[in-house]
Amino acid sequence: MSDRPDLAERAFRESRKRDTAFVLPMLGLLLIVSPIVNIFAGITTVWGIPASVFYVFVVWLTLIGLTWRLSRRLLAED
Amino acid sequence: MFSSNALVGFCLAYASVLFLIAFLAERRAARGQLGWLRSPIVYTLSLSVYCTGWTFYGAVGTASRSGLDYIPIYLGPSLVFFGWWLIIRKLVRIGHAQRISSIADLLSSRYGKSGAVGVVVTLLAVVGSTPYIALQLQSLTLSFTAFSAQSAEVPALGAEVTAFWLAVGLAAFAILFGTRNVDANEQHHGVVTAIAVEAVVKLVALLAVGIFVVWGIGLEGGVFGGIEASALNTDRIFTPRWVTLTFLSASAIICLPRMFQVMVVENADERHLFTAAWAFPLYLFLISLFVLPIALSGQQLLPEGSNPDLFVLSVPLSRGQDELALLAFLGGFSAATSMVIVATIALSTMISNHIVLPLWLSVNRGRTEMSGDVRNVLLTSRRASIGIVLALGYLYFRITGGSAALASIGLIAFAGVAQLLPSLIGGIYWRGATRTGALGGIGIGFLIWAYTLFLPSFEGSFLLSAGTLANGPFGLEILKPQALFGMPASDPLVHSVFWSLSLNTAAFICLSLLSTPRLLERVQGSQFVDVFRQGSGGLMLRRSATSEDLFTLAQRILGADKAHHMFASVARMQGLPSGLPRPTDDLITQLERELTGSVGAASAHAMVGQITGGGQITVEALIQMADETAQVVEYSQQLERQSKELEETAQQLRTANAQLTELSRQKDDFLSQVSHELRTPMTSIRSFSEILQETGDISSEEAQRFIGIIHQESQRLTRLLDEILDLSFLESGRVKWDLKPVALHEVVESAVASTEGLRTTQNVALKVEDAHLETPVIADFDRLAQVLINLISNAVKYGQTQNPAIRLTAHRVGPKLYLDIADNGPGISSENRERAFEKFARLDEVTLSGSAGLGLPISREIMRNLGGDLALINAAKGATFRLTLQAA
Repeated sequence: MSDRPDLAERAFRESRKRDTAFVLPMLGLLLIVSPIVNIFAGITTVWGIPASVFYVFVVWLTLIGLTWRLSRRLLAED
Repeated sequence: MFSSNALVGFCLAYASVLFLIAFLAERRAARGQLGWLRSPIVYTLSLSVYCTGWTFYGAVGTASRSGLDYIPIYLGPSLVFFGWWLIIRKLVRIGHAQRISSIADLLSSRYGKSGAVGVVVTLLAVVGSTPYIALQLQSLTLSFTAFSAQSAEVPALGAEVTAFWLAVGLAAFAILFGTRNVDANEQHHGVVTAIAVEAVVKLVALLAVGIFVVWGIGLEGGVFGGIEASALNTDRIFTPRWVTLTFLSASAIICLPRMFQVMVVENADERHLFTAAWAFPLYLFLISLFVLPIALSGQQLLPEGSNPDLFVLSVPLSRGQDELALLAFLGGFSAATSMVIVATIALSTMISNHIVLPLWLSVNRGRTEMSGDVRNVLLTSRRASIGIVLALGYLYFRITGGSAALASIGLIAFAGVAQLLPSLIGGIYWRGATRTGALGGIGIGFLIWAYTLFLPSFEGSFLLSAGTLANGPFGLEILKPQALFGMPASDPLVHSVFWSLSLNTAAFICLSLLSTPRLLERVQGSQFVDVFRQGSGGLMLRRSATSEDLFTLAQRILGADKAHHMFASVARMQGLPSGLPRPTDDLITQLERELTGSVGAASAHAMVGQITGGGQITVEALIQMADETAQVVEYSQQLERQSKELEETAQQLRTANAQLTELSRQKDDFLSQVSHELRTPMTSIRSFSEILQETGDISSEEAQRFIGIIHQESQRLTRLLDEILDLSFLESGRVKWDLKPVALHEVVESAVASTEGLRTTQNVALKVEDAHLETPVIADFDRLAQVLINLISNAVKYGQTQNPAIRLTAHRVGPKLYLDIADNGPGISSENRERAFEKFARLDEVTLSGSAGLGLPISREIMRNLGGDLALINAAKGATFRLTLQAA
């Protein structure tokens, strides 16, 4: 109990986590619905998979993972 | 190889299994054993109703035709769920708080429970969903023909006939599933469970085909070997179309009636979103994972000109994998049926609540109390609506000839429902959005969408002729449907979405700013925008109705059991042992909320309004509701007031306590004074009597003197005791006063005579001035004389000086008569003035024997009892006592 942060600190951390929930879709937009994807266009391949496809799916899966982590934290607080 | 009949058999068997699952789930729910029926996994799987026959077959077609274009269709919804905290959570919260039954209901409720908004949104949803339904018919028909083509069997039926029977079958299926009853909160546990099972089937089917393609076939150069030749070979991915597709699919996940149904209406617990937030994007990820490999392998394996929309079926069939093809077929069947079932349930709810019921209400106005069960009207209209929606879909399929690619039809539907997005987002985030703005925005967006995308999709065979499409209406090039204002029409979808949504949003914002919302709109607006800041409370309209009318209404919509249950519980809460509850505002509001779950906000409001005779929102109610902070402020002010009062009371108590302490101290002083005063004469009496007793040889002269002292002291003692008795008698208030008009001069003469001896011995001159002395006063003669004697004696005793003199003067002010007794002695210092009236106060210790110091307190007590007073007044020299008397 003694090393538990005070109320203001906890409220701040909570709002920080909630703000992160806003950041994820923005990050997704920036990485996929932007000219960044054009970098991976063309016929370059990664392990036999076209680079553009590889890139999009990796970003997608990463965002799923981040959302999973965040949801678990938010749920724990709820 | 399966024959067509075998396929129909499989479909029917599969549908029966689904129906059984739905039935069992519903029975569990009815018994209250919700358990896993309400788990977040079931919720997430039910969301997969997003993935329809188009997804199942069409995505592969899109990937084959235009490379990565299929990805935004899944990425858009994923992005919305990554940001679920922003929009979805708020929608779900509002859905629960306001008992929302459909997206039309949400918008109608938000914009002042407006019937017009409900009708417009319903019409848009029906028209927008028509291509979508057609799409499912087309994908199912295609999948049937794919099997027929492979089996070299002459197709028993043409495509139109197949599609017709499919539409009939789906209608029957949806009616059986979705309209078995009118639920109070419009949740269909059975349907949701069946949809979840279908979600698993279609995912497993697509994954199985994908795994077979990647690892089961062993294509030369790998699955991506043919990439150079494919549409994927492009150097630009980020294009206007890429952005448009992402945006459309993101808005579709919110605005599609069926998505709204499973996401908001069927949501059992807001916390399910915590799981769906990542699990639903994961589902979409898995669904799209093998789309590209299947498309590429189809291009390599199948002959030129094969329909890429059917690769999911034709690739396994071409390799002789009949069972896998059957699984894929059932996956596609699942995708199409689940979409049709949920979409028709959602649409039929909207049609019955926002179009049929208001019409029925206006036709039956005035005789609503007598007419039958409204639930029958609802059920019948919902069943009919399902039939109508499927008929429209079939018509669309027939008119377009079932030729267009699956994806383009789906996108038309997406662009249609996206017209709801500005009003929806504005409605839940912007308090200033008004009904006029919403109607204007949706209306304009709808018209432009229809003109630039929907009608052109018929390719000249419906409303817009081929000539109009090519050259614009009446030859006006500037209004060409697919190139408005001469905009280069590289992509009709981007063109239509740009014009319709930008003008929609502009109209929505401008009209909202220009119009004034009605009170109910403002109320609903603040309830929606501030949904997270409010408790369960809400606006309480002032309405009145009889309990019997309310109960009748509840029975007709909720059913007898539910209505009885609700009214009984309200009656219990009101503390009534039996019978109907009192028709309070609370009850009416609760009833309207319950009805909203069944028939939508606008209809519920109208029905309750018919019974209660309207019910106007008062400005007071609005302020009371809208401004909860004001209530908090008022409450804290009340607390402040109370604490101030407490503080004041405490102060009074402290003062009273101080007075009591002071009185107690005075009493102690008095007692010690009394004992001291009594001791002095007692001591001398005792000592002289001891001398007399013990000393034998005492001269009689001496003895005589001692006895004289003893006599004097005992007289003093008696006088002292008399005074104490007198004072306590006076203070107890038990004295009988003989008040009557008394001639003042008589009293003065009597007192002067009584003190003559004393004055003579002390050689004090007394002068009585005659003015006003004849005035009669109200007094007790003896008591007033006692006071005067006391005062004159005091003046003699204390006013010692060279030529002592006492003056008595009287003067009259109004009804009061003042009598001053003044001496020319040393006077009384100002600090001793008040002490002079204290008991046993002997000023400056100059006292003569015989005074116990009780004279002045006794005199003052007497004067006050006579209705007058006794006070020391300022005088130039000596002490002056003033008697105040009431003139008779």
